[in-house]
Amino acid sequence: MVNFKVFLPVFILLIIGCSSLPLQKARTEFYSGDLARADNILEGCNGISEKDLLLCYMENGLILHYMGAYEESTEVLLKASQLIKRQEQISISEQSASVLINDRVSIYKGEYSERLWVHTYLMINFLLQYKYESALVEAKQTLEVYDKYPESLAGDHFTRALIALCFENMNLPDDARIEYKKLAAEMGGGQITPEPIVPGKGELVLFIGQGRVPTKVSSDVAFPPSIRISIPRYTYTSPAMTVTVRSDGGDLNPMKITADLGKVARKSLNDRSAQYLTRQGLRAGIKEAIAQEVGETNQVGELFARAILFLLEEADTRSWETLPGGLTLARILLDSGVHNLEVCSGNLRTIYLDGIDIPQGRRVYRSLRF
Amino acid sequence: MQRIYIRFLMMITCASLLTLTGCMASTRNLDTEAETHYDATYDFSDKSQIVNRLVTPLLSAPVFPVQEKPLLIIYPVVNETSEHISTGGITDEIRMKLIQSGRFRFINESQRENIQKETDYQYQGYVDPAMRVEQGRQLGADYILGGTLRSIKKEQPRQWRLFKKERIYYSLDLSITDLKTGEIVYADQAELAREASQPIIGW
Repeated sequence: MVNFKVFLPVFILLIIGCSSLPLQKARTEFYSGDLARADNILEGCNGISEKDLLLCYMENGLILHYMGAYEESTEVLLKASQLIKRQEQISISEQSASVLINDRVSIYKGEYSERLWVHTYLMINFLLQYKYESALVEAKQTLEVYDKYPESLAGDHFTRALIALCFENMNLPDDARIEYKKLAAEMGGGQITPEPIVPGKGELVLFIGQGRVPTKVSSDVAFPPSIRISIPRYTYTSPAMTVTVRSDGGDLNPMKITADLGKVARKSLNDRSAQYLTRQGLRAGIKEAIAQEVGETNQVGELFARAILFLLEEADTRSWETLPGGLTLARILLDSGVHNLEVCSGNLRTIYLDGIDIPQGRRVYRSLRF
Repeated sequence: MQRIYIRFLMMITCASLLTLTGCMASTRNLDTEAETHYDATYDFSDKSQIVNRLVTPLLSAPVFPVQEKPLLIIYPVVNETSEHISTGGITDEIRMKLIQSGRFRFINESQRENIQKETDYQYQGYVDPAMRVEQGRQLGADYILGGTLRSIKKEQPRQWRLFKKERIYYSLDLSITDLKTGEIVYADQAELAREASQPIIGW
């Protein structure tokens, strides 16, 4: 008589979907410089499985942003934002599946830092389109994320400075002052007060992305007889280089606020460690019970089951990979008129901004990526 | 063995029936005046409530004499909430109700560019001079109508619970300013607050 329990691990193997190939291809094209092709591969995230949909929206939103398609990028990132809200509910069926198999089968809900950065890029998109009211709405939603995970996200000074800028644009100086005060406290004291725009001058605001955010890898530990613990962690990358802004060969010395996204991402993941370690422990126990149950009647089957369950134990290494490694907010007061500027990343690479018209009393925004 | 097989078949049949019932699509029209809310956030029935609350007292406000028909211009209601709300719908409905009352006249601020474009075209030589619109004859507004939409949101603190509650308070402050003197001649406020709870755990 056939013992169907032997085939249980095979059944589990079969219900796991393939990892998202379009996402991997899109990222490769993005980093090789072909953004249009990267966007085409994702096709508006149609055909992406539900478990990777949030990740697809995040990647697609950022690809569109760096293509300069800010309206389309906003549309996609708003979908991401709405999906994050819908996914707040804990699904019993999904948790059961991930406790039995691994965390990769569950719907990707984004790290705390990634949920913040959806709003960060929405704020940037709205500012680039001069939609100050919508930028303020995103600023308030970003503050809600900060309130939920204050310690994990305290290192993201860029987003905090961006929130303050959104309040300034809407003529809410008290709210802006509160945010600058929080920013100064997070940065270790002192005072942060941007220079006001005086008559005859305008302000250039640059959102500068540098490098690549670290990716997640798994760290594995094995225990006898066949228990495997697989934990996700971010790789280490060197911090972002200093940004300088020059005009006519001279340094303009802008006000700069920089965030190391890798550091914030690592902190955010570490703060979640209790969650995934608890699930890992539970999963190890259940898998051991399944293997022993199979082994009661079929010793070869037990070996087979143990092998498959051992291989199935994989850390969830999904993450938003098109993000930059560092984000810098640079604010420069310039005389009203047309300017030619050079933005340098660590004296290695330069982006030229020619013919930027700075109107009197107004702000002009640009987003750059090294 | 046969009993297990029959039980298994019955389970699959029940599960299929449940799935099929859940999957049947349906549509129905809704009464726009009725209050229907899925959650605590702003929706179309809030817009109607806010507009009715603000327009009714404005129609009988003594600051605007009945025999005069003051000329107003509406500037968009500023959204200071934490939701992407199209406040144009609120201002359009307020304007429509005030025009329909016959007590107020409005300048169409949003069409100024189109009016200029059309007028420029008429004076470029394409249009019969007798049919050209006379320039410099637009009306000047007496008052500006504007407002601000604000919200305060509170979520239940994190604790051991099965439902998550949130409360949202909205207020729309409306004001009418005399264009000549800069004086606020009329001000009113509409408020609403709602609490919604959602299960934390689902299938």
